[in-house]
Parts: sequence; C-alpha cells; structure tokens
Amino acid sequence: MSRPLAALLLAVACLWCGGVGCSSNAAKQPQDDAHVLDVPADFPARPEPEDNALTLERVELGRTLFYDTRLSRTGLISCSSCHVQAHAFSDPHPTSLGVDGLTGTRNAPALVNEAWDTSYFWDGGAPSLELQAVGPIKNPLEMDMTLADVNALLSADAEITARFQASYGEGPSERTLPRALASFVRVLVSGNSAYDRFRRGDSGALSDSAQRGLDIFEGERGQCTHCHVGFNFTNNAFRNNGTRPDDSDPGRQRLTLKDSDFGKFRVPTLRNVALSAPYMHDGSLATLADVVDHYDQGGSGSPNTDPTLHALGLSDQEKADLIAFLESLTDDEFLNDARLAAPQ
Amino acid sequence: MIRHCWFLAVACSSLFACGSVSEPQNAAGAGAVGAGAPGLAGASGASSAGAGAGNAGGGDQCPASPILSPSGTSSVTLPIEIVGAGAPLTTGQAVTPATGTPYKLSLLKLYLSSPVLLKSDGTRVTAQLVDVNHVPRLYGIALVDLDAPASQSLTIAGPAGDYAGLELGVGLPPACNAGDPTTRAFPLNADSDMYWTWGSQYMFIRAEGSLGGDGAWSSFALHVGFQQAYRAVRVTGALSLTPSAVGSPKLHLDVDALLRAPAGADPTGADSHEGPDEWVADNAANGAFTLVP
Repeated sequence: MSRPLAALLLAVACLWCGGVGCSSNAAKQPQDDAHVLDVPADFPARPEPEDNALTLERVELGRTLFYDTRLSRTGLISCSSCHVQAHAFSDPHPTSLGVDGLTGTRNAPALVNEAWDTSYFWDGGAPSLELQAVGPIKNPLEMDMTLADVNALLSADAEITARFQASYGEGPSERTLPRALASFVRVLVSGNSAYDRFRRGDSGALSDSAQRGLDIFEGERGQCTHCHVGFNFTNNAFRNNGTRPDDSDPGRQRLTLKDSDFGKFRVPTLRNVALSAPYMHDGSLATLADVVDHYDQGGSGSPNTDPTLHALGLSDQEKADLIAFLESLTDDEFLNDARLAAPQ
Repeated sequence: MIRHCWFLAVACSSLFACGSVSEPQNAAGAGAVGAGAPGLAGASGASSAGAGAGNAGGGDQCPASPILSPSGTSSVTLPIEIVGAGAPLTTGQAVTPATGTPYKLSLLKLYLSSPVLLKSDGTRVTAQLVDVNHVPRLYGIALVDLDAPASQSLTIAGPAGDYAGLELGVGLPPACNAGDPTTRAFPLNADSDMYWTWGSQYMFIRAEGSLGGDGAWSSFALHVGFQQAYRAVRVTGALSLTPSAVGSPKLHLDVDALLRAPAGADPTGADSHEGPDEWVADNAANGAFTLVP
C-alpha cells in the first residue's frame, strides 16, 4: 500500500469513527452499559489479572460497592466519599475525612486509568488494584472496618449476595469483595479529552495556547516528560519532586527502606488534572498555577529532590500555555459518564 | 514527530479494530480480555475459612499444605509460656522487670515457622508444625497470641528420637510474606491483625502496650516486619519426639528480654510502628526464647 493511500485510509477511518479518531471509546454509546468495558483503540490493551477477568456484572457489582457506605464502620463513608467523579475520582480536600472526622496523611489520588498502573498508593505499597482495595476499608483513619464485618453486612443483603454469587460463584468474602471493587476501578478509563481528539486528527481541538503548552510540556522548556510520559502521562516510577522541605513523609522509603527513596512518590497520571486539585501527595498545592510555579522554581528545596528538577525560567505566557495544555486533558465524557456514577 | 510515535503507532495498528466497531459484541464486552471465562467462578476453596482451605489461590508460593510430609507420626508438644518478670503474663498486667522499664501489654502476637530439630551431633532434621491431631498447620506456620491460650502450644512432627535442641523461624518465610492475602485463610488472610495493607506484607511480631510506670505510661506499638527481621531462633535442651508426644519441655518466651530496647531505640516512636525494628528480632534470637524442662 502506498503511503498516501494509507494516510487517506487513516483519515477516512478517523472520520468514520465520528471525527474523533479510531476510538471505541469515542464511538461508545453513553447509554450502552456493555460499552463501559471498552478501551480507546489507541490505548494499549488493558491489563487484567487472570483471577479477576472483567465482566459487566463484576463491574456493576463493584460500582454498587464503590458507592456503598456499608464499607465503613460508621456507615457514613464510601469509596466515593473521597473519590468524587466530578473531581476525576479524587478529593478536593488536601487530605480526606475518614470515619469520625479523622484525616489521613496523603491526598486521595484521582482514579483515572488505574488499570494500566503497576502499583498503587502514593508509595506503591499495593501491587494490584485488588490489594489496594483492602487498604482504605481497613485503615483506621479511613473506613476502619474489617473485611469480615463488611461481608457480614453484605451477606445479610440477599440482592447483593445474589450478585456476588452471579459474578464470582461465591458470596461476599475476603476474596470477592476487593475483586469486585477492583473491577469497577479498572473501567474508570479516560481517553477522550481535547488533547486526545487533537491527537486523533482534530486539529481544532486544542487552542493555540494549549498547543504551545504541549510543546513546552514535551520539549526542553518544560521537560515534563521525564516523568509524565506516554498515553497516560506517567512513567509509573517513584520520584521526589521536591514538594516540601519540611515534609517528614518517607514516601517510597517506607517500603524499600533505602535512604535514596526518601520522599519519593508515585508519578500520577495528568489526565483530568484540572479537576483533581489540590495537588501533590500531600495536597499542599492548591492550583495548577501553583504546580507550574513549583516546577518552574525547580521544586521547593526538599532533601533528595530528583536531579531532573531545576529552575526553568518560564515566562508568564509560557506558564499560561502550559496550564492551557493541562486543562486540555479534561475528559468531560468521563467526568459525566452516568455509568460510572452512583447507581440509581 | 518522534515524540508522538506512541500515538501514531497505535492508531495505525488499530485501523482494523476501528472497522470492527459496528460488529456485535457479547454482553460482557468483547474488549475484555478473557471475558466469558471469569477466573474466580468456582475457583479454589481457599476463602472458606478454616483448616479446610485448600492451596490458596493459583500460583501462591506459600503452600497451604505443608512442604514436607512428617516422617512417621512422632511429635512433641511444647506448651508456650509467655512470661514477664519471671511470671506468666496477661494483657493489661503491669510488669516490672529486673532491669529496664516497667511495661504493660495490650497485645502480643508473633508468627513461628520452619522448625528444624537439632541432634546432639549437630545434624539438622527438618520438621513441621502440626496441630494436636497431627494435621499439618495451614501454611506450615503458627500464630502465637497472648490473648488466645489455644495458640500457646506448639506441636512439632518429625522423626522419632531424642534431640538436643530446636530451631524455629520467628516470622514468615519469603514466599508467605508475599502473595495475595485475599485468597488465604487465617492466619494469613487480609483480616489477620498481622497484615500490613499499606505494604502488602505481614508483621512478624506485633507488640502493643505502654511503657513507664508511676502513673506516667506512654503507649507503644512495635510492629516488626520486612524480611530482614526474620530470625531463625535456636533453643537448646533435651526433647524427644515420640508417638505419644508426652514428657515434653516447655518453650518460654521472656517478654522482658524480647522488648529490651538497646540504646537509641525508641519503642514509643512512630518509626517503630512500621519497619524492621531488627533489635526486637535480635532479642527474639538472642535469649528471649528458651527451652525449659
């Protein structure tokens, strides 16, 4: 096939898919529940554990549980209390409120494209979404429940027990509860931002400012892609981004026990970042402008800051362009997808 | 354009996928890898708690069944005596050790594993932990709990004979310290009070209470884990494995010795809440456990 012909076919194919690219996500029908399992065609295949294959009924069960306050000791807190869809499944509070008004120590991360991440929690302490799901339920500052207590409550509910049985061949258990929750989190897929549409050929999807911001982001001016790289804007690594000089949180060092890992945290995705304020592992930066200023200064001087951080000397216009680009990563379809909202 | 290559490469390779959008998909979504073959339905019975649990989860390297079959049915049953200031210890009781700071325990738990019988000529004989009915303990481990008298007994099965001592792992072998607790039964399940959800591994020794005395108690929570805190603890003394398991010595755990903090260690500090705290492990290996007739 000649190159011009291939290019023409690509263009036609993209138009065929609705002018927003060869994306099953773009083509999905919002009211069609089955398509909640779809992944944008230009994303890598979604990893899935062998013992928790995604099915619609598992996702729907996990969705019900995600919004279920029976997971907390007080019956007042659900996963969605700290992972709010309108905020890209993050929490607008710097640190979240758990049972009895207790607060945690780190900012609740946005749950966006977590299926592709390789470890969970800010320090990577959980190797899978299934094990991650256990943490907040048992954490005394968050939901403060045992899995046994949650499962006892759920087992008294015939309807949800039947759904567990249908999904896993087993009622609520230490095994099935985290798997159902992980199934729902695995379909929190965001891939239809203005940036994505631009990538897929819609040259008008990004403003001139956002396009300049993209160049800064990827180029030598910003050097953001040292860490925020690839389709999900993360290298899945741990870095010390110099957030606070007085921060005693050991970060990754807590797990590796290596001094060199002090203050390192997981590099998060930037998709929907405009909605997931406040920022950094401790929620200490309130706005995107604060974040851009932070990196422009090369961090805040905390020990062990990553050597790739250094003062950038960005102009006000460059900062504004960078923010315009970051705002272009907002995926309104994801933020308003009724299939990811609380079941009615 | 090089920086955009991930996108173009995928977009080009997905042309055919694009054309298939209109094809009917099954209810579970054709995009799901392995959809229609749910991995868990009817899978192993490991979640049915109790001794009936089978080998936990596919691929779990921590075998629910024992590593070895006992050679014969001989065994020895060692009562575990947990003592403070030379006397049996209970939770809430204030203890004034001969040296060191008075303490009270609200909780004390630890894992024992990997028994090895030691002959007088130095020969090592691998044994295994079983229950009183000679059923191998799940995962080959024991969780000793100050508040659970039934846990304060250790039956070790192995070849009949006289031995000069015993080696016990305090902590878990690496294969059991890793893995998926949601497919395991007690005492390695996620609800086990020994599991660190933040770090996806287990505490080996968990001691909580307060230090001080004279009405000025300050709380401590020593949570000792990480593989480097594993210790093979050797205790010496005559013990015999027989078919009837009678006439056995006792295994003493001296909490005074276990919690004796070296200079620079602060049991009440936040660091002791999650980490190797190897001084505790060292104490376990260096005199806190003894065999007494």
